[in-house]
Amino acid sequence: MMPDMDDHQLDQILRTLTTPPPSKALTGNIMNALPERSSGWAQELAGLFGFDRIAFPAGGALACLMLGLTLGYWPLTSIPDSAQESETLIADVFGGDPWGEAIEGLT
Amino acid sequence: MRDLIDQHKRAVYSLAYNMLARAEDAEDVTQETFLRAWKVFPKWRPDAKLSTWLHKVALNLCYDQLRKKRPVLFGEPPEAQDPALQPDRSLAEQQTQIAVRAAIAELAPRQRAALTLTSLQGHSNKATADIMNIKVAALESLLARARRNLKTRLLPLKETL
Repeated sequence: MMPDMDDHQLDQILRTLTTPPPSKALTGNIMNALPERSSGWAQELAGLFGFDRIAFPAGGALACLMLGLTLGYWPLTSIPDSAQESETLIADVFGGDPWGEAIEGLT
Repeated sequence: MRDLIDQHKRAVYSLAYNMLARAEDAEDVTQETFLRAWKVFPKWRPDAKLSTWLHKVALNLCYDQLRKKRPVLFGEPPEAQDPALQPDRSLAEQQTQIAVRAAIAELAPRQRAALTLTSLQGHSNKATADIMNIKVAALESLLARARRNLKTRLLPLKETL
């Protein structure tokens, strides 16, 4: 009768097993697959500005630029042209005449 | 992300290769594992260990693959062009690899996973139980059965191993 195989022999056999390395292209393949699945918000944004026909990185960047310009436009146009206008603006926001009160406080 | 892939791809691939016995399937599973990781990163909880999570995902993907495909038959080389078989290895070594891999491939998927994670990848019983989502006692029982079945399958080949 053939003798049984013990744990030590089995471990020795298992140690001889080697796993081949994955292909060198694997990391690249994964990296290439990532943006396609993860660019949903950027593509939505690109679509909002009509850049959805441009490939993801360029279209997304253009859309971000357009969003930045749009959001930045209002504060740029609201800068007061004169000191009087600025006082009116401050009075509108804070109420009363803060500059006058401040000057009175100093004198 | 590239650093993360480089750091973990070998371990994930190794698990998939030992479970599926085909390089092509193992690469598919590895790729899908990292794509899923990319999706959950914004919601990532730092208390969960990343390597454990990656192994869990990879293992579940392997189970899915195994359910879809026929099992590898005993005596049949796991794949015709096994990249593990390097030209500088002796014919006897290559035959041993084929025989042992075929014997492992005959184990039930959960026994194969337990054996792969502990004996081939060197994970502790606790880490393996965590990856497999079972208690340590259940893992030990699974491992005992895996080793017993493997010994039975390898016994006829003992003289040539």
